[in-house]
Amino acid sequence: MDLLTMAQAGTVVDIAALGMLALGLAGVAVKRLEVAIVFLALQGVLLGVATGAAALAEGGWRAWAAFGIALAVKVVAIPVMLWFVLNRVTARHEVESVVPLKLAVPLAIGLVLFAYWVARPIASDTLGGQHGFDAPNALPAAMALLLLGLFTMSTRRKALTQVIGLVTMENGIYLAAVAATRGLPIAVEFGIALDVLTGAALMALVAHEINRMFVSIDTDRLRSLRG
Amino acid sequence: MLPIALLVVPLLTALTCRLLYRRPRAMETVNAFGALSMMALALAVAVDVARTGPREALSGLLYVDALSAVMLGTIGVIGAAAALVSIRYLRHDLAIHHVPDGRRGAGWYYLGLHGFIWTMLFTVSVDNLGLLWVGIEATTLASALLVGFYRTGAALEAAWKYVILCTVGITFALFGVLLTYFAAVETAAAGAASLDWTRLSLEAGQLDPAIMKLAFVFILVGFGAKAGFAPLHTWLADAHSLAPSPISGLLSGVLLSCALYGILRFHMLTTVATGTDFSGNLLLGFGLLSIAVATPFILVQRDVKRLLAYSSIEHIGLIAVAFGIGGPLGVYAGTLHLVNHAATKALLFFVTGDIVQRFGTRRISAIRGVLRASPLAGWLLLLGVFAITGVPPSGVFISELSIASAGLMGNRLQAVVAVAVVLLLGVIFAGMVAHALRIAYGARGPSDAHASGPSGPRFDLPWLAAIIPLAALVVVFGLVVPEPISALFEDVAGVLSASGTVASR
Repeated sequence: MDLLTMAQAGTVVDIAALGMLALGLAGVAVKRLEVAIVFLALQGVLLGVATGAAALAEGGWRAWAAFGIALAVKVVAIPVMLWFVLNRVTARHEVESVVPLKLAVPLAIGLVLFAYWVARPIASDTLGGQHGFDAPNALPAAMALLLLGLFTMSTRRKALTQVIGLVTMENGIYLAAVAATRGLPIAVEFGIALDVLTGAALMALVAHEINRMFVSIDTDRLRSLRG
Repeated sequence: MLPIALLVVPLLTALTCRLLYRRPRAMETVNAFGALSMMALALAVAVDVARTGPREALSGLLYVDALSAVMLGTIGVIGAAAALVSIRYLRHDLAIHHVPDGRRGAGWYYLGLHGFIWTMLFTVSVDNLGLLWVGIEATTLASALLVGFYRTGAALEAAWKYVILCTVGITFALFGVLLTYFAAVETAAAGAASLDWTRLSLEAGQLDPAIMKLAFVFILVGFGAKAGFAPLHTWLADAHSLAPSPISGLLSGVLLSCALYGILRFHMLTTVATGTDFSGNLLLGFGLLSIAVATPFILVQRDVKRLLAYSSIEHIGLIAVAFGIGGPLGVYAGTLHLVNHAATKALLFFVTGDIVQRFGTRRISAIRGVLRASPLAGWLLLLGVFAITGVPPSGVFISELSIASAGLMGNRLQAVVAVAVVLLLGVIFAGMVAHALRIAYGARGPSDAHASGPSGPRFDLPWLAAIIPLAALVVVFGLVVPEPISALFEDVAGVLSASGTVASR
């Protein structure tokens, strides 16, 4: 029944995690929103690969369900939705950052190093070699994606880039789930996917409405509520 | 059967309301009767659990114990009241063209209201802690649409802040859920791990203490943002003040407690796994901090709905302190306070909704002489404010007294926190009552001191049918907590201790 051994699955997850991390870092450096959305979709593809590999090793129909959910939500639905909002919006398509790019990239690399420093010991102590499943980079990469997503959300001005940051954070959590327990119970995964999907749709909707009110989707204009 | 029916009725009501938006009277009738049947079912489930113990349904997908039953009953009563007062509230806003899209907007409103109630009912009746997370996130999404209902710049800003902050928070909570699952996988024999509460609560003693501590920190940050704990409360006053007032009552009265409900489940697991007061002390600390942070904002507040919102931060802090103290008395006091706060704060928001519509402003300095403009609204406001600040014989007085005595009977840390809380409550009492007296009695300036003030539409039957029982409820629990409600409240302590959940009876 097992199409992959645990060791092979571990290797696939490890490589996918490194790829996601590279895309996450590159996402900090890009200037155009279109590219950022494409990078996010590619992250989703790698996440799908990791989910699929881990579940294949475990065996059963869960493999295909988890794989299908990851692909449908992270590769198709969310990017398409963001693309749709982007093209309905008249504002310029540049990423606008509070921190200049020359500074943002070193800061992001610093965050990745920090994530490795924190998560590497945990990864090797408690998770290492569990049933032969060994993906030493998965947990640090997951932690790094969480931090990079938070970094994107706090430094970017546009509503759309904040949604991208949030989805990046959620990708990190998903990856951690694959690394630590090879996925959550399927009902939970399905529910989470549904929530992420409607959440992104809702944010896109609000961003669209804000845009209609304020012409640009710059959250810096949202500063009237105080106290 | 009952728990399933309870989850079907709000969905049917929501969809029917949306379909009927061209016929406003029919839509309002469906809204009212749908809400009342939802309440009847919720109370029936609660009474059932109080009499015969926990219930399962849908082959273990749903599990209702005493803690869930208290939440179901509260959501049922406050949800039905919100649906009833919405009728008059929305008619007024439609008449002055404040509802975007007019009648169709009203259809969306009722769809959102009952959908929002459904997400809360789902959250407190699922067995699986992962689905609990899904439910709490769903409450954010459903209620965010209602927060942004007026589609003004400020309302959209509030909705945006609300969704972003709570969703980021809840992403951290997901990590906490994941860590819990990881702990369960490590202990479970032969890959039979699950996130089901019925399993986890029995095996809690074997979970890895270090992992559970870390998990609880993530859960507390994540769900705590949603519950309104300081310092992650910055979205709360915006969302609760800019939502339509019946929705504000639901947000403050029950939604905050739904997030706290999630924290309490993990609090129990962590306490049993570690055998220490680690999570209880964290609840104590965040609770006290929330009360302390809310106090100055209450004293200098200029917006009447923000005043009530900051009061909600104070009370959610107080409930956290009660559960942090723990023990049979602490848990009983916390549960009682949760219910008292829900009824009193909902009453206040519903009445304030009427006052804000009369005066056309939320500014406290512009709202004067409510007792002359509408004696009923004025007296209800005074009743609500005196009750929420703990004046006897209100229910809040009894629950606050119980929380304080539970703390004083506990260890030194708990006693110190209890004393600090009582001092802060005294300050808050002075601030709230000063605002309320000016609103109720104050003159509106020399020019119109003799005028009777602005008049609003007459109170209709659904409004009175919701408000009068709520006002009674505010006082009744101060005099007596009748059977079987008191039995239910006492059983909550059993749910939150190792002595057993499934086998509590």
